[in-house]
Amino acid sequence: MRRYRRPLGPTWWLTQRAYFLFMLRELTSVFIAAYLALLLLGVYRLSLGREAYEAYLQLLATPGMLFFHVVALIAALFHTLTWFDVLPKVLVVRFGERRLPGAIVAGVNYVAWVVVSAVIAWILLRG
Amino acid sequence: MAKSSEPLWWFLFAGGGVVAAFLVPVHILLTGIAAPLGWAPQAFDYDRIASLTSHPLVRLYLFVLISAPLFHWAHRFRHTLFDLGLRVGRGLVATACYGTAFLGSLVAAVVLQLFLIIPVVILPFLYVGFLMAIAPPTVWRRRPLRERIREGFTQDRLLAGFFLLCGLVLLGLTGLFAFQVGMGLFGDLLGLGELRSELIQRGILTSGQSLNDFLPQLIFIPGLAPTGLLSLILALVFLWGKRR
Repeated sequence: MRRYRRPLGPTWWLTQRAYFLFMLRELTSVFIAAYLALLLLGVYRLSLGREAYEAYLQLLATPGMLFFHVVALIAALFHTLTWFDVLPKVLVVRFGERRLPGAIVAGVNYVAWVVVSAVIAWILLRG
Repeated sequence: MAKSSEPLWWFLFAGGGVVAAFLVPVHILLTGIAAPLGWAPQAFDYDRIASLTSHPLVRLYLFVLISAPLFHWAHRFRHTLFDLGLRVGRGLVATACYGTAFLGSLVAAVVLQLFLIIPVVILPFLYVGFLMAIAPPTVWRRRPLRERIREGFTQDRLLAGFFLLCGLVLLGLTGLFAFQVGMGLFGDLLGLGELRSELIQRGILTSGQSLNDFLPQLIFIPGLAPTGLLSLILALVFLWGKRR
């Protein structure tokens, strides 16, 4: 049996704000992946020696790269916010009959996120 | 029981999402914005970063940081393409997306010189994904494996091609490393001294003769050779089953 499928144009996600935000959220992964590819390139250049590494740092300082990283940072933050927003719905913590409020689940994650970020920044910058 | 390979991809997607949510923003801020703007010049000095990344735990961390969100990307990108109305080539798109993530992880492991990760972590995931894609666990249970092979697998051949490629690349790499180690240790004994010094001159071979210099390769070979062979066998079984 073939069920009827309502035809959807390729621009269905532009018709509503919620759909648009959904599509934006899906697209954040592209920026994150692109940033990680750049990071991997950096690790590779680092393994080649001092000159290659410093040339890589200079490449990062070009306006285009800076712009990309600002956009990628916004995308990554959007991903983090939406991820923590969804988490309480996926991760249901129960104490007997009572359910831990979603705000607490999300709050714990936000605190952990800030702590983890601070630790990473401290390790990388303390020199 | 799973009805498709989706649970595995979803698991990798969720893991990658957590890594991306917790770790990626601060890294973009530090390496993408703070470093080029010179906010902490001494922190990004070559010697310092090189010594930091020489620690195996730091490299393992970098591997997780790079590899996991790639699977997150693959999953989201794949489904976004379908959401945007793509109606053809589902198998092709899925293979291309997850294959890219696997390839990226492989490159990351090699660049970070974490060779053991390849046979221990990446390849098992690859096999599980492959097996679940050609025949989900429920199907295995309903009909015995021998019967399935005789009938031929019903899914598309792309995964088999992917595996064939994996197997060939891995076996090629194994051969390359085996050649390096063999030349380094036994080159003189076999009367190939000249070839050996030529290779050292061109930088293909390290000059060391002790076993320690070849330790990474020596660990690598036993991991690579069986997995490469297994890839080939799986691909051949798959292709052969399909043709009948």
